[in-house]
Amino acid sequence: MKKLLSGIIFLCVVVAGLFIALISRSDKPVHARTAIERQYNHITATPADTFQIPGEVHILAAYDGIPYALDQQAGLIYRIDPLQGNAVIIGRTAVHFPEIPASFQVDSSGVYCFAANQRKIFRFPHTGGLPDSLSCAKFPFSRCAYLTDSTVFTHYYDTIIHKAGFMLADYRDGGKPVSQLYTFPHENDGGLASDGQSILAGNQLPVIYYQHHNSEIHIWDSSGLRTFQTIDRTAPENTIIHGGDSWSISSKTRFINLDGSTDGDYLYVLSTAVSGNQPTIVPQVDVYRLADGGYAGSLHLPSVHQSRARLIAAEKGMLYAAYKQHIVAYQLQIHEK
Amino acid sequence: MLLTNNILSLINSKSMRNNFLQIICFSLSILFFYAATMKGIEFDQFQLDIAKSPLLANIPPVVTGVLTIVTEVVAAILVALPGTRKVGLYLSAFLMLSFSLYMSVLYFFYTNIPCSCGGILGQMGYPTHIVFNIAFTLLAFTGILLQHFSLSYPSTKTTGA
Repeated sequence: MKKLLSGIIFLCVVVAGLFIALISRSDKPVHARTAIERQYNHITATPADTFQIPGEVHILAAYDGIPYALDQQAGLIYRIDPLQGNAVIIGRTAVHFPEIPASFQVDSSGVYCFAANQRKIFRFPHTGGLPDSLSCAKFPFSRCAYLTDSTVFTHYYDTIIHKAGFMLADYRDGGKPVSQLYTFPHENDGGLASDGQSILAGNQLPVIYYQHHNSEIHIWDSSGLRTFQTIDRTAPENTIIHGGDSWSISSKTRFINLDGSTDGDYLYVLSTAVSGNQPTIVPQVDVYRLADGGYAGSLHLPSVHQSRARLIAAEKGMLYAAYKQHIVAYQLQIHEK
Repeated sequence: MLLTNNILSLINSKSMRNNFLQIICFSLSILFFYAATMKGIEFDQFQLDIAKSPLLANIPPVVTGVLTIVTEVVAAILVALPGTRKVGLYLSAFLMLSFSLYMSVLYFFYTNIPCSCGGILGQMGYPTHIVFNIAFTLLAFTGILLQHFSLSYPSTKTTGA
């Protein structure tokens, strides 16, 4: 019995020792820290309404005063009825493509889902029914934004030069490039180091591209491409792991900008960067002026049903925030000096 | 009462203990062979998943990958052979306890970490996989106990009242 006990104790001690060694040598969570203290007195958000969808919100957008939500698990697109306040199913994505859309956009003509694996753009009508689709087989895109002149602002990865970039492309008739806009400096990252989202107000320029892992913001309109930095000032770096024909995000990669949205005048970024005056990591909404890239202030959104804000969509003086099942509409007031 | 005594008698009997022990060893052996084979077949993906793990990020993935597969194969062989069963059971308990702890640490303290296991094991969600690993850890420890008592004590005969 003594032999048995000592054997088991020895085994447990070895496992404990192994884990102490692994944890002490592991990658510590590194969080981005803002260069300046967040200002909360310039912008106020007053809760105006709360909506609920049957499932979970995985993508949120807003257009013409109406929030739209995608529940990826159920493969359903919901539109919040502006009169009743209930969620109405207007599209069934699972029938047409299984993956989470690379980009999701709403304008007057419908709800656009960019299915990167199928290299297709699906447009679901606002009133429900079957979507029409556009095949863009020549362009392996990663993020997209559909513009008024039917061209598409595209974030892509070039497998020949092993770099990511922005391109303006016309996806009709299988697709053709219109112009090359920018090439990212990182190499051999599958486009993941510069992964983010291209956003715009409806389908109106400018297109804004924020990145999940660094503070660089790109703004593109007819005058060209310009950049500015968010308040965390995190430098772009490539921490992506490459193996075979695939790339994946390493544990060293910081996830700073969770989501972003624009109303045409301001950029709203849901950021995990820790501010000098914040002791804990709680996602905050940082607001920037599009005109000059200046910091306008921040918002702290309270938790709803013990869930933190995970997605945002801004439109017409409103900020919609998604909390798992709930979408809260906040009335925005920006009092800039 | 009669039924209880009969069950106790069955558990206490040496043949029953041996049968239990053989089932445990067979299950562990199959599990380790399957896990090692799937990891070997999808070795590139396995290395990628290991590289993403914050606990193993500072060890070359090829070293962790090869070491895990070799240890699993060794454990599967040792536990399958009657002569090396005891060592095999200790190695199995060590592996399963380590895997359970590893999965729990990742699940409770980190986010978005993919499971490195191949085949059907990789398809399980984290909670299911943790429960599965704990079940096999307990099985391995039960095996150690049964092995110890099979070797140390003669079976006790209980008669029904």
